[in-house]
This record gives sequence, C-alpha cells and structure tokens, in this order.
Amino acid sequence: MERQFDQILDECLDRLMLRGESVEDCLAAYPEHAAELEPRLRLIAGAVHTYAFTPSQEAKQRGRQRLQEEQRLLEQEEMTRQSRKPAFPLLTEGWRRWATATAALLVFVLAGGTGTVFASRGAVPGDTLYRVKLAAEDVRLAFEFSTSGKAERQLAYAERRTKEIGELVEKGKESRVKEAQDLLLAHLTSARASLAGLSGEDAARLAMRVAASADTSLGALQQAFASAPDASRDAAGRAFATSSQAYGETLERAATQASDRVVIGGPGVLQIFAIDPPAPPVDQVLVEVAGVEAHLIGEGQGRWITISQTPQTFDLLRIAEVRSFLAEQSIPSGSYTRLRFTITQATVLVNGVEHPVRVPSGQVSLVRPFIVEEGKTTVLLLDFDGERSLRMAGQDGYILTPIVQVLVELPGKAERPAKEEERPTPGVPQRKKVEIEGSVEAVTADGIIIRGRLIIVESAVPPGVSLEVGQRVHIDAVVEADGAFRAVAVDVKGQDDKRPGQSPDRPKPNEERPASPPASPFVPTPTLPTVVPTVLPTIVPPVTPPPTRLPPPPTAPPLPTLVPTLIAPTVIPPSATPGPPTVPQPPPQPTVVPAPPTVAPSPVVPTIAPTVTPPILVSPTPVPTVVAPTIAPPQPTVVPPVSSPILPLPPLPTAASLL
Amino acid sequence: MLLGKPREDAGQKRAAVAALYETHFERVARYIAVRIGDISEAEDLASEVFVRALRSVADYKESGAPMEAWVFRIAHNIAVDHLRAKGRRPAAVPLDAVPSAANIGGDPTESLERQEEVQRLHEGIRELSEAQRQVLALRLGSEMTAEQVAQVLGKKPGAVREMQSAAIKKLRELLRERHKS
Repeated sequence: MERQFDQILDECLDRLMLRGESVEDCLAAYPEHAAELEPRLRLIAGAVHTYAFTPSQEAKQRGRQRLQEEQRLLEQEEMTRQSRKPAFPLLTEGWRRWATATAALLVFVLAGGTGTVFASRGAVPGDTLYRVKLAAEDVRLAFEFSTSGKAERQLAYAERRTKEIGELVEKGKESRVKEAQDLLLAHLTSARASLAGLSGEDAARLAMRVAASADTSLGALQQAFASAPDASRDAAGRAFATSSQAYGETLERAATQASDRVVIGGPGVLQIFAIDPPAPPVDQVLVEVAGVEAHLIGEGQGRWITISQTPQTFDLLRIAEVRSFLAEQSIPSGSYTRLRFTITQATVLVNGVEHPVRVPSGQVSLVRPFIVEEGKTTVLLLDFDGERSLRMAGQDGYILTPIVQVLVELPGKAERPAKEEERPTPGVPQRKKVEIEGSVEAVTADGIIIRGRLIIVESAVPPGVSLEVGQRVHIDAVVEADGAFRAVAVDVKGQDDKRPGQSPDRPKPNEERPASPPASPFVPTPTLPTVVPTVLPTIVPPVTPPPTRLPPPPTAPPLPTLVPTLIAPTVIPPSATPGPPTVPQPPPQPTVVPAPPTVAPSPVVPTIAPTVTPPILVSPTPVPTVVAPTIAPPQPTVVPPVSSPILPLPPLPTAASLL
Repeated sequence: MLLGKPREDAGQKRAAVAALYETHFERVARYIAVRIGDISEAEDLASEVFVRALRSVADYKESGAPMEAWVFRIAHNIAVDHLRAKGRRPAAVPLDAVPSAANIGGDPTESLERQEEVQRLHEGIRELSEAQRQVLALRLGSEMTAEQVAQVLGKKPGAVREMQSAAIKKLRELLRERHKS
C-alpha cells in the first residue's frame, strides 16, 4: 500500500512539476487518495514556487566567461606540455632570429630592401633569395597581434608553400620538396596552436578559413601530384599525403572549437571511384572493399556517415585509365575530413592460377578534407599504389598493404564564387538554428516570451498578424553570438486552450474570484513595481495593438495607493498562459472601468495579468519568476516539455480601491 | 601518426561540459538554491560547478549514466562545501531579497508573512536528512524524474520514491510545528 502511494505521489509530482498540471488535476485523477495527496501536493507546489527563480542572464554570461577562461587555461597547459620538442629543426629559434636580422639589415641597407624582398617573392627552396622570403614572412608575422590574425597569416603562408611545392615538382626538383613540405606543416601546427586561444565567433571564422584554405592548398597539391614528372612524383605524393593529414587535423580541431556554430546542410552526393596504379607483374588483383564511411565535421566531434556497406570487388589492374565505380551515396552536405573503408579480401591471379593474398590490416583510414555541396556531386578517386601495395611473401603468397591516395576530382577550371563570405559554405560555422514551439507567455517591446525565454521577433512576424499571449506559435530562429534568440520565421498555430503551467489554485477565467488569497500557504511575492511595464502587451511596431488591451500605465508608482489587499498584478509567470484571448471582458466590478484616454493606473485585467515582465528587464536582484526550461542546443527541433510550476495569481483588487 | 589524439578527446569532453552549461545552468542553480536555501549565491555556485567539471572532465569516463548526472554530483559536493563553510547558520537574508517589494506594492504585513513562510520552508528543508534533502532538491530544482534522480544518486528509482514521500511527509510535519510556534 505504501509503495503504491509512493508511486502515485511520484506521478503527481511529475504532473505538477514536469507537465504543468494543477493540483486539482492530480486530485481528480486519484480521488480515492485526494485527502492524503492534497496537502502534500500543495506543499510541493509552494516549494517549487519558492525556488522557481530564473537565474539572470548576466549571471549566466559571467559564468560563461569564466568557463571560457578556464578552457583557455587548460588548453594552453596542454599545448605547453605537447610542444616541448621542436618538430622541425629548420625552425629553431637561432635560425629564425638570424633570418629576421638579415631581412632587417637588407631592408635598411639595400635601398629600403623592399626591392629585394619583392624580388624574393617568387623564390622557392634552393634559391638564394628564399631565406629572404621567409624572413619577410617572419617580420610580417611579428606584427600580427591578434590570435586569429596570426592564425590566418599562418594559413596564408601554408598556401604559399603549396605553390612552391607545385613549382618544385614541376621542375623536377624533388630534393627540395621536403623543405617546403616541412615548412607547410609547421605553419599548420602554428595555426592549430593559435586556434586553442579562440572561441565563439572567432573560432567559427577561422574554421571557415581553414576549410577554404585546405581546399585551395590540397587542390593545388593534388594537381601537382597528378601532373608530376616521374622524377618528383614520389615527393609530390608524400607532400600531398602529409598535407592532407595536417589540414584534416587542423580542420577537425577548428570545427571542435567552433562546434556549436557549425550547421549541417542539405544533402549532396559523394561518388567514389578507384583508379589504377602502375601494374605489378601479375595478371589480376581482385580486391573486395566494404564498409566505406566518411567523417563529417560539426556538432561537437562530428560523425561518421556511411557511404556504402555492400562489398564491392574490382580488379586493380583491369581499370587502366578507367575509373572503377565504388560507391555513390546521398549524404549531408558539409566539410568532411576523413575516409575509411575495409579491404575484406584479395586474390591474385598469375598465369591463370589463383594465389591467396594476406591482408594484414584491411582497415584503411585516410585523412583528406573534402567538401560536399548541397545538391551537387563530389567525386573522390582512390588511387591505389599497386607497386607498393602488393608484395610477394614467401614462395607463392602475396601480401596486400593498401597504399591509397584520395584525390578529389577537381572541376574543370570552374570559377570560384566571388565572395567566400556571401556564399554560405555548408558545413562551416554559421549561427546556430533552432526551432521553438510553444505558447506566447508575454509580449514585450523587444519580442515575445516563450518558456521563459525572450525571442526577438521584429520583422519575422507575418504582416497582419499580431502576436498575443496564449497563442501557440512555431518559430524558426537563430541563436546569436550573445545568446539572444532572433526569430527568422514565425508561424501562428492557433489559440492555446490547454493551459500549461497554470497555478493549482488559479480560478478558471470566468469564475468569481475570491477576494481572499488562495488556499495555498504560499502566496506570490509582490514584485517590484518598477517592473510595471511601460509597454503594452503587444508586439513591436508593425502590428497594431489589439484594441481590447488597456493603454499603458504611467511609469509613476501607481500601485501602492491602489488596494489594501492587492498584490501588484505584475507577477508574471512567463509560462502561465491566460485563458481565451477575449480577455478583457468588462470586469465583474462595475467601478473598474479604466477610461482609455486617462491612463488607468494599472493594467489590471481582472482575469489575467499577462503584463509584461521579460526576465531580462528584471532588476539584478533575483525576482521569483517562474521556472522555464531552457532549450537544449544540440537538438534541431525543440519542443520543450511543458514544465512550469505554478504560480497562483494575485487576487483581484477590490473595486473601490482601484480608483 | 595522428598528432595528440588523447588531447583531442579531452578537448571534446571540455566542449561537452560547455554545452551542458548552456542547457543546465538554470537547473543546477535551482538545485543549489534548494540545497543551500539561498538564491543569491546559487548563481555563482552554479558557475563554480561547471568550472570544476571542466577541470576534472579529463578523468571523466562514460559509464552509462548521462553526463548531467555527474554534473549534479559535483553540484551536490559544492553545496555541501558551501554549507560547511557557512557553518550552517540560518541565512541572514530572506530568500526573496527584494526589500523594496516588501514596502511597496501591497500589504507590507502580508509580504512579511510570506517571507517568514519562505524562511520556514528553508529551515524545514534543512532539517531533513541529507538523503531526503538531496532527493527533494533534485526533484524541485532540476526538472528530473524519479528515475533520473536515481541515476544521479546511484540508487534505485523505488528507493528514490520512498525517500521522496518520506521527505515530503517530514517536511509537512516540520512546517506544521513551526507554524504553530
């Protein structure tokens, strides 16, 4: 019996606190327990009300800043731990300082030196002026004072290295490629280190830059690799592979940093082909590939998207100059950084005889950033290095250790879109979008309040529509950098008959209201009269106020003089939806007739008090407003559970006292 | 081959804490308010909870309970630390620390009455057992169901419901006594 009551009580608590039902509703559901339930539920209702404060935005912002500070400190600590040993001897402090000094000297001595610096622009590793070029870059970098500025400059220099590699490859200067490659990697490492110090909009902007830069650089490197003369082909391939890796990691790191601002776009198409390698001395190399996946960045650490699950077999040798189709899939558009698949088995045919092939590790995971655009197709080419992938083992066995390059098929000299900023590249950080559905709890000059949260509506309201308290609306909004919600589209769904968040003791709208306070031992605290709204409960400008509303009260403190028993009717439950919108019917008391031109001292609307108290206007000291759940960011569509506690409305002012 | 992989995981975990801050700050603040009987400090303590979470998240392991359960345990610890530091003296300032409201806007005696009632609620809650207080605070403050509360406390849902009922019953008695006096 005890147990059963415990469960019933628990269920009623859920109803009360999480589903916004009233004490009466609970009692009606369990009439046989009503006597025991009632005092307990009223107690809890009161307690919930007591603790139902909404922390101020300022407090939350302060906390947010503390968190960001802390994050920065922790990341820097990690960075220092990691970066103890210099990765590339070329960049030891000594050399740098020397190079900078030389550049400075040149600047002064040789007629301003700009001529020389200028001349060094086209220098590549191996040229005498290359050192000057690098030194000039260092000097320039030293004048970059912001973290994001430094990062962007490093990215720009990485792109330069790419061009140099292209030139070197073209000219067959294979031995020099590594030098440029090492420098490129160092630039990306520095960019990554700078990323650690960024957050919010800066991180988002930088992530966009990284994605664009990766695209440019890797495109150029791929081009170089594809058209490389034999002498420098290997070096080009290595440069391409290591750069893919480095860009991929930098992009992922940037995306994680800016993760709450990355928007996944609509679907695009990914096609994957395999292209043939130079043939090893066998007749056929059959390879079965399964489980192809691609890694999409965004939403925290990103996720793996399945491209293909069915195994596909193809002959590495048969596809001379022809692309062998591996997979095609419609996938979310965005920035991808990795591709992985499994080679499940392989067979080799020599002189008509099948030989088994051992595949020690069939799992192939490659870092290669690529972008899939909404509605477009991206083509990936898997370039298997046949010579190095397949080796003999023992008498007649073979071993396959797949060595694969991922190439992105470059469009035929398509023009790049004019301004990167204007075109919303899918998958790169943008402001976060949310959907909100709920009842309008209050209407203010700044916007409307739903579930205790202010949503700036401004021009998003359809013309001719006036938002009123009690309406159910569906809103598409974006979350600004400062955490404000700005509506993009507002859709009115109708009137809210169900009244979520109603106080347990709130009388039904058309009932006679008792003059005495409600039965609950807890009575709403008077709120600050300064919170008396100076604004009509209507929406911002375009919409004409509903004629039935009272004109705004003066800012003078009207209330105290009014009513001995009155509690300022400005206590506003953001989630208490009022009854039917035909609210201001003439109040029962004949004397309460506010003459419209002479402003009524208080917007007392007898049946409802949906006066406006946006939480944001509340004074720094917390005023008990009603609890409202916050909208959880990761979910794209938000329909917050109805959960507000309960606020008994203030008693009606007695007639005589109003005037 | 991959640079600093463990580091990246830590970064992801920290990002998760930051995300949790946005969604759960208010709930944690209310939970703490119930635990310590003081709203004005609850906000700052709530931030402290997340800072602590950030610092120790590197050691956090996914275990089956959601991360928010872990955060509420941290909130519990901070509430306990705070109460110990304050020496458990009754709060000097009433819960609704808005003095002007008491003077303007209605019957002063009424609002005083209200404040006293609120005070009594605080004290009543404080006299509950630690476990009962925890359950009640989570239920009142954090919008969790009994099952979720059970996860935070590492108890069975049935036990939570029992404690809940017992807490409410005791609170009622305590308040009745105080009301008389």
